[in-house]
Amino acid sequence: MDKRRTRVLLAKMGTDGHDLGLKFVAAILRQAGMEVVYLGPYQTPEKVFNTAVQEWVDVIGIGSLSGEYTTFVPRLIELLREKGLDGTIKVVLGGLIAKEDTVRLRRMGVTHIFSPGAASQEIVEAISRPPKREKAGKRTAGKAAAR
Amino acid sequence: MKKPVTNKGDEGSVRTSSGIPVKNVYTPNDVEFDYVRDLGDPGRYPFTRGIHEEMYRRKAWSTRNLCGLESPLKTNERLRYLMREGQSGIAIVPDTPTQLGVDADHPLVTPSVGTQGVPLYCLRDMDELLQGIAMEEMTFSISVCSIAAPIILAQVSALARRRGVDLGKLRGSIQNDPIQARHCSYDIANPLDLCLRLCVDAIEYCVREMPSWHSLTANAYDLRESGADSIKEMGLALANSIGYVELALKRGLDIDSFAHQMLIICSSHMDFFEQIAKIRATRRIWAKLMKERFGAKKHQSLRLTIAIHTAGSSLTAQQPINNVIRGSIEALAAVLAGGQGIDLSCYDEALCTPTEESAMVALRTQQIILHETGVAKVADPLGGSYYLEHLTNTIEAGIWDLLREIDAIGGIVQAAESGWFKRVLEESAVGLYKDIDSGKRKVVGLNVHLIPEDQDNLLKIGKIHLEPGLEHVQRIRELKETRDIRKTEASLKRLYRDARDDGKNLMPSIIDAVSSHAIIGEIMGTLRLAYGQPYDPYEMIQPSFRLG
Repeated sequence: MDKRRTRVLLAKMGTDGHDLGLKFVAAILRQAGMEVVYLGPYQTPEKVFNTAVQEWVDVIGIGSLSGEYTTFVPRLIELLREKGLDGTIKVVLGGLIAKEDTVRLRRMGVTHIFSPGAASQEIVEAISRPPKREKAGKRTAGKAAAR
Repeated sequence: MKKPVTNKGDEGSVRTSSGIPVKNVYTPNDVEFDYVRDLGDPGRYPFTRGIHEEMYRRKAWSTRNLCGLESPLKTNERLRYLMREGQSGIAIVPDTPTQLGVDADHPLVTPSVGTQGVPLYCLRDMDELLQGIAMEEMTFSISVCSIAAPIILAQVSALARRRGVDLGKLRGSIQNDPIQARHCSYDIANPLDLCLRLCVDAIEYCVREMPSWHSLTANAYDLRESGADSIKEMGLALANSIGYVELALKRGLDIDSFAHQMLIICSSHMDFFEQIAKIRATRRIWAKLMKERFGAKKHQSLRLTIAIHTAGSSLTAQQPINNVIRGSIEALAAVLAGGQGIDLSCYDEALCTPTEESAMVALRTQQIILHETGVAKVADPLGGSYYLEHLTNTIEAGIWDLLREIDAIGGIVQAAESGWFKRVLEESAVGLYKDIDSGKRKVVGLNVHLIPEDQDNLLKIGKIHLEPGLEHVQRIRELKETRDIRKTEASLKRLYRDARDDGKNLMPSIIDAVSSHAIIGEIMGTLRLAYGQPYDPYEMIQPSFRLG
């Protein structure tokens, strides 16, 4: 298990079809020795969740150039949380993410948010780092449940 | 006389952005052409130097701005604003639910309604979009880069009929390039045979009913945006065009009845001379293809109209005011290349839906080029430049090689089905990215001359993401309740029946459905069902009407 290569699922949810950036990310991650499950655009949160579970991925990478992430990323995290997987499967986000959303998304459990022009080194390092936040994850989960 | 300068050193290591090696200087030894055969005067075969004898003296290019936001009425306001400011054509981009052919009240698409384009779901939407605009007096280009193009065409036709406008007088274009859409625009699992049938249906319909309309715009622009270099950008768009021409000929259409209705929209990116060269090369190839391969005879069949959009992918989210400069340089190249319609990507496009201010700057950029620089006074002012002619020849040769490769595969439809198209495009895209990531290709603000994010105050921009047009969703729901559902249902039944009959052109029944207030997702869903596919491409909802 330790030596297993990091498995990453890459997807876009909703109607946002421009996936050139996400394809670049797939290429970078593969080159860094990770396994990439490329689901591509037009996915539902349910489909992303189910695939992530079936494929035993460590990380879900969501690309978003539209504002649709504000609806679909919380839904995806909710699905992970319902199955108690929010501490095991890391969710990272890249694309055009409004500054005012980042705090909320991080608190929700998104571990990394990459802005346009993020260097490939930065993406690789962040994704290959093991899920660090046993406690933090539980705490946010608790907060959400209390609301 | 001085001896021509020779190149020393870095031979082959300095290249254009498409990887064409360039020398330090070009001399008469580098370029060979027969003026009449290879260049020709502007307005003469093979149209390398432009499609009109007097080029911009006769008529300036159509200045326009891609526009589409929130709702049809809101977009109408923006259009009228731009027209008051001197925009000479209308360019509209529909929102993603329209492009995908899914209804606004679908749970998965509601968050994107009106956020990245204008909702054009039904006849009422098209009517509101063009409120107060005389359809016959404008040229409009509708950037619907998906299988929904024929449905948008049906909306235009149905609206003209309702307004009593002569269909023959409508001038404009739709994209209608399904192979491209499948690879780099919008398409969710629509069967290719359905896409191609609709494409040719639209061509055939325009030949009969809308002769001044461009029924097909091969979209080279989005190929470029998806990572293609100049040769692949133009080569694949030409290959797609050849594919559609062959299908239309198979349908029994005469090449001279529709060739002039086809155009190409391409990108103007940052590598200045390469852009000009690729556009000149493409006109020359088109002329030869039409004449020699397809036997076209009419002058207008041989000359290719080219629309040019400055490259969104060349813009940076960093130091966004620099994008004004990028747009100016790219638009200048588009003019020097002799384009017929130009629109600029707005400077804030890498960050948000363009604001009124950025749309205005984009328009003003073109007007400054037209009125102040003097470059539009002479046709093809760079023609005869040793370097440019060399580059034009080199790109032309590269495109012919690509076209031969596709012919050897068995044509573009086979190339699309076998995955060749996708692979070629992806290889190119990844290479491009690596060059930027490694710093081999320099982009100011991105990998050279950076400013830390918190100090990057080079421009204030608008709101990064627009709120979804929930009001519009509600209006569509209401329309569904208030329309004469029996009439809508009957029209969709007819469409379903026609779609199951291979011999029928589907445009009349699509127009009928649009006129009966069917929504775009209902029309696409009906077509999908007729082709044995799920009604909803996301497989979440069922139709609210019965077809059986």
